Amino acid sequence: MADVNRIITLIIKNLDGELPTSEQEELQQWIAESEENRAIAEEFASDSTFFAGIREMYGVEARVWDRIQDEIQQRIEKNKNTYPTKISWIRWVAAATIFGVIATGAIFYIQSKKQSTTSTPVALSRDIPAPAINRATITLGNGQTIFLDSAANGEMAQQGSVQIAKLDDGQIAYNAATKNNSPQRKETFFNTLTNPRGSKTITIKLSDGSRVWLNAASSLRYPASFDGAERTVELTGEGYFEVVHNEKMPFVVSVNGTTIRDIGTAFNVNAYTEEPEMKTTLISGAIEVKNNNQTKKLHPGEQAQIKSNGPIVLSAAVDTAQVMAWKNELFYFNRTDIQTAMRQIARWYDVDIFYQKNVSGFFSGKLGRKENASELLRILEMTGEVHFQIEGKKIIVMP
Amino acid sequence: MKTSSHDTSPLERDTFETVYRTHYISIYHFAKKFVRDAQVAEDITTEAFLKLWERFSKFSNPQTMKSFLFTVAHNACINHARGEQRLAAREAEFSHLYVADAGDRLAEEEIRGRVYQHIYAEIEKLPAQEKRVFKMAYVEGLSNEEIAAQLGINNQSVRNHKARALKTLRLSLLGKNIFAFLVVVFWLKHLKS
Repeated sequence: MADVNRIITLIIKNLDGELPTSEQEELQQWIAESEENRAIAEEFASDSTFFAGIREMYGVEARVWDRIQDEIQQRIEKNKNTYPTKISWIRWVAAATIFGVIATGAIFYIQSKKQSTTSTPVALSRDIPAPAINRATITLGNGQTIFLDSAANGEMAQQGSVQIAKLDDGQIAYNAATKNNSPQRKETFFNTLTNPRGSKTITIKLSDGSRVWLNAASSLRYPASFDGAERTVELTGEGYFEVVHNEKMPFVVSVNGTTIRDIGTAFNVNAYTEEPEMKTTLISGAIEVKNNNQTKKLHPGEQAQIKSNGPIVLSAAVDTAQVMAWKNELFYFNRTDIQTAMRQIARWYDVDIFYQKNVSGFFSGKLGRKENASELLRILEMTGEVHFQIEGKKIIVMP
Repeated sequence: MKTSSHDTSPLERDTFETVYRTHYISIYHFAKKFVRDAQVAEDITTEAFLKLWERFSKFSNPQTMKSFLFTVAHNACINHARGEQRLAAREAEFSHLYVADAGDRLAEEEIRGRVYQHIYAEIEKLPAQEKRVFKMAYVEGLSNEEIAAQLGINNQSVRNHKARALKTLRLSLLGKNIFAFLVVVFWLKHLKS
């Protein structure tokens, strides 16, 4: 392994393309040592990757620093026994260049400092805040409904030998009883966790230890305890699964005729019926997606797309950060059309969207989901492509 | 009021910010190479600096801070990888992967991050207004008109600032005899647009 300082000097000198032959050889030798070395050298030798690196550098600088400041601020606030909900906007980076091409439509850049802009403010009668609480419910086997937000922490209910508890962080846990007192007769209680529109993400730990994050406007039906050959749950809307693998009893997510079979795994399923296609994205491990007798095995980073019960289309190397943005409390648009963006906004803020005339436009960028609707809309308006009006729980989209 | 951590002075905050600006990019690239996910790398970078902040008054030596940051980031990377592997339940397989790669990756990441560290330092040395215009134009991708409107200056001033920033950078880079030509040519190409 060559001396690191020496290599850095050579790479920097090579940026001007005038490295003497003897040093060229030295650098080439180092490049030949590994694929990683080659990748590093090429990054700095190519205009486009190098310039993207500079943009990335400043994007990271701002975002990470903001988060550090927010966290420090929150700790100070916590000491005063207040719990602020403020989170700063993830700063927008020069999205177009990071993502490659400047595409058709509007790509917008948001100033890191909220400086005055030329855009007109969102017309609103009353602002719509981001969901501050979780409004999810659990429907038990006997039809009884538990409202999770008003339920006290600790044990909430019992289903057979399984105890349902609400943890301090709001997470729901199904705790299976110890084996020795399990009764002879087994009764299966099906429970449904429902997370309505305009509600924060809810996390549940099933009795087998698998965890599921449920987005707004989504539901999960599952047995309080699993038995039989498979662990089957039913999803509507969007959920992220971290499955505890059990070869003898595979985990199966069933969505409207499509099944996703886990082979030891974390994956995200977006199956909102109002979306044009169902998307299953594998984050790690392996899964099989089955629909109409067609089965596809996914590798990490791949996405299976099914359009109105048609064939399964595999898409390699999707942006998993974008797929997982909702779980990380972000809106993440990457050349996302206005209609798709507005559907996400409708589910999150529990609003109805109306379009005045034909509105089109594409948006890129990330922003926090904790801001009021008007703040998000104000930023979208800065593209100059769209304008909004808020009327009660309606958002009107205008060209 | 009792605070959970130490009381901080303005001087400490400034020092912390300087430490952050000096090391964030190498920590980030180090983590990114390891976890291969920009978002996770940002999380890890955030976590590392927050941990540094928690015990900031205990540090007096910049070198120790740097080692501390890399150690925290490295541990976070390992924890992240373990978390992902945990589901695969093949601990043995994973530990092999880790041992084989850790040393090399550490060194490699040092390279990418440290080259960016040099570039960052040169840009940050520009005079205030030139730097502002430079970043708005080349990092945020704003047009001359947008910059002029936001800074309350005319288009010609924007062009002058851009030209001067590039000239200053070129001189400082040439003077240091590092990456002079190619980069500046690329920036100049952008100036036209």
